[in-house]
Amino acid sequence: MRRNFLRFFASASFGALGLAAATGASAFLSACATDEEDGDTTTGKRVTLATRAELRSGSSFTNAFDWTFTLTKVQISSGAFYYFDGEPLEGSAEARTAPRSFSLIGVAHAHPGHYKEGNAKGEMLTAASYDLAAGPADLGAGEGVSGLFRSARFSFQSPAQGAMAAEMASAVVIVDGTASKGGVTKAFRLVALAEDVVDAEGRTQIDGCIFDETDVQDGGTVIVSIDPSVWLDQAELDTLPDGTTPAEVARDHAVHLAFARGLKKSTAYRFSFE
Amino acid sequence: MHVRPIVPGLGRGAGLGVLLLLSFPAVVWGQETGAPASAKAESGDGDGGATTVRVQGEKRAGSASETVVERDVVRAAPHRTASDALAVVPGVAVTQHSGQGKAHQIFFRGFDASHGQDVEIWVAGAPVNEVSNLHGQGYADLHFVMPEVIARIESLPGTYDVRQGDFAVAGTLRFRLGYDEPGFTASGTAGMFGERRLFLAYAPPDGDGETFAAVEAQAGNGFGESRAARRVSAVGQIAFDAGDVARMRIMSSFYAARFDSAGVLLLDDVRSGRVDPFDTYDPKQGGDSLRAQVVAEIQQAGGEETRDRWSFAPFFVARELKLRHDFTGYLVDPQSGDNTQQTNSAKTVGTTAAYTRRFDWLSNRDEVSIGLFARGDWIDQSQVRLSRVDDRTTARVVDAEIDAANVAGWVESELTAWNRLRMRAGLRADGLFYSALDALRDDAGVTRSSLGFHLGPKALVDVMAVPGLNFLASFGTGFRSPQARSLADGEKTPFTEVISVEGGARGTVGPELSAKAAVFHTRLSSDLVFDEAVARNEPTPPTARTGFTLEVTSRPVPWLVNATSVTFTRAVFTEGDAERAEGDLVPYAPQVVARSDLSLQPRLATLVDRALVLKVGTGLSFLGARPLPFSEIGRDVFLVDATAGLRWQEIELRADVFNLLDARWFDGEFSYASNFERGAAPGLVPQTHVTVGQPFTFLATASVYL
Repeated sequence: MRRNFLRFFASASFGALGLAAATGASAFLSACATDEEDGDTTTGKRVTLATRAELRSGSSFTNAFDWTFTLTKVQISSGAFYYFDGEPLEGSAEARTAPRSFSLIGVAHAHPGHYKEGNAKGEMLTAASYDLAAGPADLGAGEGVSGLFRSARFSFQSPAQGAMAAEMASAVVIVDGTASKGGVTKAFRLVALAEDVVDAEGRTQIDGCIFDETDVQDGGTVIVSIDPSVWLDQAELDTLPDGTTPAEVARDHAVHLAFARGLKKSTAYRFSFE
Repeated sequence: MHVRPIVPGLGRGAGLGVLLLLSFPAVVWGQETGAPASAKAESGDGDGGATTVRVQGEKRAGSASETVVERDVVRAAPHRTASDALAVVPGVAVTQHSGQGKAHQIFFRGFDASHGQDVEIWVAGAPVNEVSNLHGQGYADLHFVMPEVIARIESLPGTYDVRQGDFAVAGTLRFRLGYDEPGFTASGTAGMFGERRLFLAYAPPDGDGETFAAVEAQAGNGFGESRAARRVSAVGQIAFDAGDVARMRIMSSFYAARFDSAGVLLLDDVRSGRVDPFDTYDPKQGGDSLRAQVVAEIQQAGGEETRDRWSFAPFFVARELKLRHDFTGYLVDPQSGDNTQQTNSAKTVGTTAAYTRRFDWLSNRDEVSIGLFARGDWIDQSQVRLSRVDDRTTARVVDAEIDAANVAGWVESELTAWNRLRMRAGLRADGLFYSALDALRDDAGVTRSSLGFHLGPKALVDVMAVPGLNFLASFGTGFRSPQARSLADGEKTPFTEVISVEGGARGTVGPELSAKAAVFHTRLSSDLVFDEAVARNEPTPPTARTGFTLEVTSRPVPWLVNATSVTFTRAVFTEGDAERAEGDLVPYAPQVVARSDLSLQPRLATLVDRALVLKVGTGLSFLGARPLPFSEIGRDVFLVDATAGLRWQEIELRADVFNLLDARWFDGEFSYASNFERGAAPGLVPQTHVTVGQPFTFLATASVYL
């Protein structure tokens, strides 16, 4: 019996030493194994992305038919935004660099179906409504993963949610303003519904938007620059009545149709990161 | 992201410390498990009964960390399935993320082997890995094995043995079956969550444990929504001497199961309380599984003194698997949902054969062996997407027929010089053929076939420093076959090449204590890792795994056994690509795996000429530092399972507790995009999804032995 106890305690000491060494080594290596500061981690990391929407060209601009617009209201009801590492539409990239004032011919926009979005790198899923004529709007927080951001998807939301929900109801865009040319002034209200912006598959989204190429490694703010001059670039207002009191343009009017076509152009929505 | 303990107040180091502290008292001199050169291995229980499992012609260890986990260690802590029991193998961790019936997810030495893609598994002489299984390459479902009939688990980490073939990337695990309770056994179990189980077994009183028959019927409601499961299985094995020449072993088993699965939950939903951790997004998940197998083995009779040994073991396996799962909600189909049904039906026929001749050159233990392995698989598989509303088929994704064949031959020689230096060299040649016909591909109707070869050299040097202490260095190459459906016509079967090296020591102090320590390194020419962008395992650049393992097993007295192991592995990409950089950690497999099993079975008294034996056992598991995508670290897991019972010869009452500390833990963590809210803007950025692990569970068992 006594011998057994001696063996027990002697071997326990031996085993304790071995296990202590194993424990120490394991704990040490375990702690070192995933030290982010040493870069000893898996690929990439999650980032938080604030989102801000603003007008790119301001509320005054001249379109392809020499109408000079002054917008007093640019209400937008947007849905989710997604950011990808796929290249944006090549045609769009070329188009955005072309001097607009040198051509009366409208910008050529490639069909979204030619766009390969690649991997999703970020998103902002909160629907919101806002008036960019009143200034930039902070939208919901988004999230993403580190890496190259090169293109984006903009989407409209109907019915509207958020601050302007009651006013916009089922509209996705409402633009109020005046346009002048040769001493003639037209006042207008353009109201776009979801059916004006749906794509071939019935989705209210604009694919292949340019995201100014950025290698995002930390959180920051995604800025969505919206350019109403693209929406109205091909609008010839001659047939609208003169005056300074805005009147809603009929949905089958040529001006509204040009406006609706402009809403679907990916160059109207440009994303960047700061 | 900080590491957060899943047991309140218990951090990573504390969890590991508790595990080792609790194992400490049992670390005393004991007998090495699975002494590699023995002609037979014995195991006994606390009431003095002893049985023998014949292991004729067993090879000596091929690496420092090669180990055999004997029955007494397997039974120290409670296990509900053979997959659960794999946790006792050093370096192995298992989780079950989709119901009690779907194959467990296995982690082994830094490999996330998924359902078996990196671990070659054999049971009683039949392969378990399923070639080109639709749900996962190498799918290995062990639910058909009752834990009571596991005689031993042989673990061959690395690729150092010529008998290791396809899927032996992290290593090989072999189950030997036997039942050591002579006579008739009837056990009934009942417990929490509606768990019921009946176990019946018979082993001849004068048998050696190899001959037995057992039946199991189990049903339970599960610990949350959509977790009910039922299974029935039967296994019979007969072993006998055919005269003085040969020994026969015939094993047959049958298994069927039906199970529900809760699937995954978004971690954010669990954290915020939007969903109950034990709830489900989609109750229409689960599946059924069926397996039948026959193995007939004939081998040379005789023990170690026999100079010529041979064996021949044909096998047949029939498998059916149906899985229905929903990992992405409404991401792919925003209207009808992404509920997916997979079916995989396979018939497998094959054989193993080996011949060993011993000769006297450097010693009288020198020997040369040749062997073969042949296996054919005939597989039908389909995958459809089903509406969550009315179960109608909304998309047909796969409808394929696959024929596969693997024929291998090997030769190996082992020399022993000066009784101190043992050298082994071997070469294995594999040829793999695949033919696939997928009716839903663009080239539907075109059968694509491919055939490729793989040569795998192996080597071992074993130096005995002093009696009882050996230093071993091992080298070997292996491979993993590709999914047959991914191959182009005429392709030369692009294998994943595996190179493993290991060095370490094996020591014994008397018959009561054994210890093994090894450092290892494994390199893969390409890997398969869960890709969060497409939510399935995808090829990646080469990877490497480096680590060490320590194992101590002790049996200081006949009624006490403890086995404790710690394994650390660091897995990294050795080349970068567009998605990852060289040196980045490979996600998902825990870097630290520790396990301690302790069993005490002292005889308390003798009542009415019958021994009264106390049976107490614990199994402590620690999984730590699990890398997840995007620089995150998974939650450490520390689990305690325990059993306590009294046996009075013919009667035994036992209580089993799983997750004694009621740790809230996730047995599965995955990153990918999903959308479980119909009509909502889908999230496309990968989110962390979890499956909740088993909470505190109490089961009571009454057994009668006649």
